[in-house]
Amino acid sequence: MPAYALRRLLATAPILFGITLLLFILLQVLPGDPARMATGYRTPAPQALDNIEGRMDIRAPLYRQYFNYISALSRGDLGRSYRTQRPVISIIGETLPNSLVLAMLALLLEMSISIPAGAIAALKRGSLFDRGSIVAATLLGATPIFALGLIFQLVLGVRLRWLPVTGAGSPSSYVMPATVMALVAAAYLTRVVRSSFLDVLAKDYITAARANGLSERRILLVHALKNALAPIVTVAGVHFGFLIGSAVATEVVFNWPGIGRQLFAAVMERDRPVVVGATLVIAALFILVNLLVDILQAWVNPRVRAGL
Amino acid sequence: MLGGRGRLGRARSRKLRIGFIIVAALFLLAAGADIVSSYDPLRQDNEAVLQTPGATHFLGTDSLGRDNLARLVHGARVSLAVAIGSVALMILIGLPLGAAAGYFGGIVDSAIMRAADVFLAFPFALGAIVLMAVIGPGAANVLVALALFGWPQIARVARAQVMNEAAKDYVAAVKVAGGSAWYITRRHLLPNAVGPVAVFSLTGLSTALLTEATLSFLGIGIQLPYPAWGSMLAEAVGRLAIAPWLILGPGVAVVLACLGFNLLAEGLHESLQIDG
Repeated sequence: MPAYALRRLLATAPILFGITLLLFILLQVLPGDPARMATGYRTPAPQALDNIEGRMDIRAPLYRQYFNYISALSRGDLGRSYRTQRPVISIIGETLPNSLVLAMLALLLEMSISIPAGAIAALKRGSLFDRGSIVAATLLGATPIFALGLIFQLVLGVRLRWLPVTGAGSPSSYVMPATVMALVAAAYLTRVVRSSFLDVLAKDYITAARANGLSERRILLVHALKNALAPIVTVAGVHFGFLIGSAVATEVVFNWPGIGRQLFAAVMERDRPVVVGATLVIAALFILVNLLVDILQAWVNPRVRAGL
Repeated sequence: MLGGRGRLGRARSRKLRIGFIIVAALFLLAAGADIVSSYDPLRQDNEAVLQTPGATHFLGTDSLGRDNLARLVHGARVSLAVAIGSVALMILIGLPLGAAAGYFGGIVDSAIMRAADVFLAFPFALGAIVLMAVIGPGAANVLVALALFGWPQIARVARAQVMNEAAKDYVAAVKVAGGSAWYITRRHLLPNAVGPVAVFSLTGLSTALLTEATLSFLGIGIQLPYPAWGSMLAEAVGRLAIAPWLILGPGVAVVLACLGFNLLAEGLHESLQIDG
């Protein structure tokens, strides 16, 4: 088990390296003039531009810039925002936790909707609940997150005034963004839960347990759940990545102070270090989550460890 | 054959049929956009700004007096074209690479899969957004961006299929009989890989459509004044208080389109499974 984890970890290293290379190229290619941005697009003296560019090592040969970039990365230095001159790492440090909290909340909500719904749908296969939940899941899965968010904002925020529409001020402002993300992700997870339970419930040991006289509830909670869990865990892990990835649209719609909104603002403002830094952090997080999911899968299912 | 007999068989093919009908209807509307609405989607009319749905403008007008129905069906053209184009490009890149990785194995496999992993390291929508920041907005760029982050998944599916198939005994027999790698791939491996790739591509179509809508909504996709469902939604949101009907057209359109593709994908998946 530790051997598998180590192998997977080592396999991740070249990917991380590849990403930094890709993002470095991005840093060079992204439009935006750092010196002018730092001076706020006023017309400064040429000497001022010279000084700034000298400090930013923009004119050094590419390989040297890449070396500086990597060594800075290893020290945890992601550069400074062109616009505000604040260290990118502090900007990320302020915004990332907000996104993570939202993602975790959405994941919890998603699981608490999907697992019961899917299980009940599987138990009462073909019933109204089953078919209704499938229809709901299909519709939700076809809706773009930002559209669902907009609808929620319109109905719950503006018309009914139950919940705050934007920002992260009060606890109640967490409700809408988290619910929207949870619903879209739950659409897929519910189907997975349902089919996983259907598979397990058809197995012989369930029939045997019934024949032995165990109550339905005990069978469901103790035996079926444990065995149905494997694909559910995988998808839930993948969904965490999805939630992080869909953060941009959701955070823009709800004006949530997270890393997605920050990234988007930086893209609009051509603030290259923030774009690259934020993307790097999100990608690294994504890889980490996928890695953990893989390891978790291997721990639960020994057959996975054999083929790498 | 595709539907199967009996109650369960008909229910299974129902998804396929509904999905097909929805998608076909959308295509017809998009292709016949000029017939559906005689208005020019780009033509502004300051006299008829923000009209409610009515006799002259079936879905009303937007803030610049452009007919909403016209913008909806012409937007369908662009959005569908971008979605299909990007998936076609994904297949064009991903299928050969995945098949090569699966067939040759070894270093070819490792190299291709590592490249795929680098692109897979980014969440799909995020990668597209960042890439758009570099190459600039516009329909063609959206197409490329989507294809660039989508091909690895197609490659993976193709690779898995080819690996499964290539391990079978009859392939070894053909090799012994002197069949070239190209012949084996073309005649035996690819036809068997096509099924799952097709199913996955259809799901990919709805993802591509959703992502394009998101990009246009954020303002970095298909640029105004050209109509696109995502940017129409963005406009609609800005005018929500005074013109709430604006959100209906593009909203329903996006959901319906994705629904159609998803149903088609699932229907195809299920009928392929029945066949074994």
